[in-house]
Amino acid sequence: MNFEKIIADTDIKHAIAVSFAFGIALFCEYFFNTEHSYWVAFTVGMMITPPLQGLIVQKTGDRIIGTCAGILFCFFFFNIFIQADYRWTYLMFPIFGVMLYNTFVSGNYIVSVMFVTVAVPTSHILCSGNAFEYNLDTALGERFFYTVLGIIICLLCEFFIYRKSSSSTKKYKKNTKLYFAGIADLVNMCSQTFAGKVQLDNEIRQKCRELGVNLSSIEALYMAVKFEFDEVKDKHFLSFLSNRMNLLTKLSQRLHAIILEEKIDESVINSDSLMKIAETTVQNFHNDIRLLVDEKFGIAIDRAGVLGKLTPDQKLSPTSLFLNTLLEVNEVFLAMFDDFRNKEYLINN
Amino acid sequence: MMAGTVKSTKTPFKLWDPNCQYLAYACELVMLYLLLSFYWMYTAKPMTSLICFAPTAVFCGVMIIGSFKQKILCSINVTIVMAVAAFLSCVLSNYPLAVVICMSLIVFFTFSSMKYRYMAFVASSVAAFGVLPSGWDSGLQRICETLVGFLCVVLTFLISELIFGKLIIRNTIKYISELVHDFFVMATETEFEKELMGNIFSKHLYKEDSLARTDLYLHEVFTTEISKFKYKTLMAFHKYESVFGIDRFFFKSNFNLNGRLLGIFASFRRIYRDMDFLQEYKKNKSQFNKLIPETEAVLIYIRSTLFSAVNAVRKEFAEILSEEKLSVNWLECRNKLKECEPSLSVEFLNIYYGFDFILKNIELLKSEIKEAYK
Repeated sequence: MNFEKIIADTDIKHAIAVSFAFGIALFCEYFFNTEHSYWVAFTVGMMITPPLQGLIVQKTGDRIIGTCAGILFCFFFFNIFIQADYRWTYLMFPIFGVMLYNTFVSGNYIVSVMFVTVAVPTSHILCSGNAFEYNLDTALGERFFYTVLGIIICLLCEFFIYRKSSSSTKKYKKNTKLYFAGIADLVNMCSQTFAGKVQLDNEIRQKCRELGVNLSSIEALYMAVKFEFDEVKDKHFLSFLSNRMNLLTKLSQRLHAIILEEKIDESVINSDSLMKIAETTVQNFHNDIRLLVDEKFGIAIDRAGVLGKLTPDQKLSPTSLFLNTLLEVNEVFLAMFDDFRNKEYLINN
Repeated sequence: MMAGTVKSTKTPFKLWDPNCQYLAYACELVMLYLLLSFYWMYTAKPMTSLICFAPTAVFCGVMIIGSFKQKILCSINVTIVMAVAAFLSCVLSNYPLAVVICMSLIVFFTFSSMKYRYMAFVASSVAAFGVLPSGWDSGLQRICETLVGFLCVVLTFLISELIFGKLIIRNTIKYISELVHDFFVMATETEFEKELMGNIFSKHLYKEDSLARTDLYLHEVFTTEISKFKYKTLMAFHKYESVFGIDRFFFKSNFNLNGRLLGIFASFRRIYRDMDFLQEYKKNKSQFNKLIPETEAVLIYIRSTLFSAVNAVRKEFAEILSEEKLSVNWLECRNKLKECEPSLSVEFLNIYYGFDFILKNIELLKSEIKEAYK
């Protein structure tokens, strides 16, 4: 087992940072040992666990605002309304519903923190069995203190143990590589199906769906990147990359659309030659992306050589359409790296 | 070229939540709390807050999973992790250092697991109940609480599917049908934006904040309104595809409805995919239509069929689908393109096949709608 390789893995590094943060939080929990000290660990958990990892700096501000808003809400709701008439308690569930709906729709971290700040003391009051002895004001005061403590632990672990442990920028780059591999697989499968080498089956359909999911996840990460501390450095690069990836997705969709309706016309090109062109394209996608950015490495295909001497009938055939699209995929991909090398993305933005 | 009056759907949350999926999530969680409250009132026993934390963590960890079977399996996984953590926490409560080490290790292993990484949300709850009443008997009680929480979560999923299952399927197919219609209008009409807005269903997609969670975070990536709109439709397709997963539903009635509408969804998806070939149509509209004058008739036919399809899907009534037949032989029009040889551009080739594929799939869509709503 290559121990160094395992440690170098980003996810393992993240796991180490997170478990260390939890360890410190639990230590604080036992050290203070009050009724609400569990809130330190809870804050750490909420800040560095999925669904959205990273955004640690953004979450810090949101968490404080959300906690304050939740505390104020609790204070007014419990100390004024419920004290005046206990039937206000029934309103809690609709209020929870509205807060949750807002959280799910907008992904607003402030509202989700506010919900947790309201829901947890409520459940604690209900479950503890000593509701009448429960001092809500003290609980809320303590909660604020433990929230701040939890935030400090998170920030310290994020910046001192492994600075980029949960950076979305890093994940974005990693997912981009997977995305290119996905496009390459799709190009390969579409070409094989079109050339009649394999049957169009559920595997190809499944692959196309996966490609869509990849795109969605990359898009979500792009949003996350905007709030990262290392975002500024790569902003234009990532924006340009997203745009080009969108173009590649569309082109791969076209290949998929063609294979559903048409088959190769051997008078234009034979299946082996078509597969050679496809293999070159796939090979480019599988190249090490860093090499493509640093030096001229991709293999260009001569469009005039492939499509130059066709008769009008051949030009109008579906095979010609497939070849054109396939060549465009390769050209867009290589042009993208040319632009990276020449820093064109800085000019375009 | 209006095919009929375009009216927006009546879905109340269309702007942010077109298929009511998020509404279902929110109601599920409230339902879960109601169930737990009833359980607490029924047993009238003092419990730890684990009874609330555990099911919430299980729910949040698994709610986005598409397949029902996977959802239950993941819930079991999360419940086991939490039960073990709670038990250890009770048994070792006199040895804080041991608890800290155990919990950290549990968190570490949960986070290292790539496949179920998102379930690490559970870690926050594990940590939150670090201080629990000590003793073996307390440990067993905490395991029971975790199991009760798990049962409540499963019950919530079932009730929610019973209430929201059909609503989500129907709203999704309606929304998808509108998107395809709108996308075609956007791809082929050259009117000014204001007139164009009157001809589409999803006017809200022009607003920056619409579908904020679902779609666009890429306002800086796309510069034109149309490219943003196109991107939003693409993301909507990807987003709502999971609704038509084969093993998404548990109840047979939902499963059957899903199977019945799957064909329509697949046809819409094929048409949507074909529309990408028309990307350059607007730019070359006058030239292309001059070369093949029949294009206008084809456009009207596709547009009116898509409009009828939207109405048929909305009202779940196949008779609404227009019986209009295409009067043009599109295959013969292909020969007219030879006239622009040798300067036949790739754009023209794409546009021709775009219409060709759409016409083929429109027929497929018609038969699927008739089959589904007969």
